[in-house]
Amino acid sequence: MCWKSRFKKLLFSLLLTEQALAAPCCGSGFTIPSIITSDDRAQLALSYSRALIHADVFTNGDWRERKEDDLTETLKLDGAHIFSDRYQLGFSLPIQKRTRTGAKSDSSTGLGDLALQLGYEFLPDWDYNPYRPKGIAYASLIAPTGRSIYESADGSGIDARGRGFWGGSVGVVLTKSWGGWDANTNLELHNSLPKDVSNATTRGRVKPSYGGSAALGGGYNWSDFRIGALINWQYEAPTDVEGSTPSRGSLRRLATGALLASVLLPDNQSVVLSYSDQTIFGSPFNTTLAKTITLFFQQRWQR
Amino acid sequence: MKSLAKLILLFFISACAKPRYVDGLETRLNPASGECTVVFTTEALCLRAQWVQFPSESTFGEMSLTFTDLEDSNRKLDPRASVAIVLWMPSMGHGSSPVTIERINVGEFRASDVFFIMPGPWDIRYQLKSGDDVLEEQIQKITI
Repeated sequence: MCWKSRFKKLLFSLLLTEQALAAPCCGSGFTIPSIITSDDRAQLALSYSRALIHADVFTNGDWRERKEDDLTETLKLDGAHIFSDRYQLGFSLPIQKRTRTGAKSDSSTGLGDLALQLGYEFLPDWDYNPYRPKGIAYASLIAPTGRSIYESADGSGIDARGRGFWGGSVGVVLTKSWGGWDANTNLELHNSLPKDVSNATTRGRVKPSYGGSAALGGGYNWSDFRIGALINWQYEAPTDVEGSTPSRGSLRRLATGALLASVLLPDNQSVVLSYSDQTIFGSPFNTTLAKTITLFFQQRWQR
Repeated sequence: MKSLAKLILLFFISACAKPRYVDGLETRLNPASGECTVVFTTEALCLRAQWVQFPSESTFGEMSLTFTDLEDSNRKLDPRASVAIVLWMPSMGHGSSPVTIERINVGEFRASDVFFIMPGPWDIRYQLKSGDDVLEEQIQKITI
């Protein structure tokens, strides 16, 4: 295996980490399904993450540190398969457990939002061009299989494990490596459909809007190892509510920084350990901020 | 390549967050003597809502609600409609767990199980209801 090929196999770890960057509270944020950026035919990944909310940022920019624990553990299966040479299909299936301590201590386990994705390699890297990156465009469909905070049965939100809306996203992933170094970027836009909700607190229609994210990362590879860093900015337009409790929402904004270490194992297997922190970068606004540890295991199948 | 690494490092550093931690309420909790928390115009009632126990992440809150004639603050009155409280976070577009309302005496109610599921700016929505219909709603803003 040439060094370029080896490094490309480790590049997947950046993309895997982005999947764990959503704001942890209430299942908000968008997931990015598995994308094959290497020269493999198929891949399957199992990941486990622990996200602990550290602080909340208000609409006036103030931060308040949490005194009780609000923990989200996610076990996720991601897969993708190439077809017709440059096309690929992928999926993401998360199971979440949320645990909260304090006056309203409780826990809840169930399915998160299911995501399906179609990718197309619009910029192939067949000749290892020194400048041109490899580019994959993708479109995702998000199914609201996880209950949202707007539909929380008792209003406490502990059973919120997803966005709760049908949604779609389009994005572009670019990757490039030079010697032992590599870089990647991911630009993504999404939108969600309104939904009628009814629970102990409200009856009405929740109207989400568009959002987007931009990620930039890089890493260094040697032997079968890679260390990398990533920063991802996320933006969500306001969510308005009509009905018994009408209200106009505020935009949400946060940035996530991540460090990760990857190792290639025999038989096309890989393991990645990552730490992501939403309190370090950017100018967060109207959001919760978490610190997350994630462990990935991935099996790939060569073409 | 070293230049690229320096550029990326500079980029990451320049994007650092500047947290401004606060710990404490910005909102005056209880009304001054003789002051209404909110006024219900449909029934000409003054509502004084006073915290008996302010909620935190680890404790439920409790309020005493006193309804008086808008023209005579010494005359306690029961609203003709039923009384409800909804805790609502407008910036996020969601509520919190339900508040329990219990009548204690003429014009006096207790609101218990008050809990805000996350810190931030909240609306306390005092409602007069008939069945599921909200006849009048008055909002007190508070930052938890």
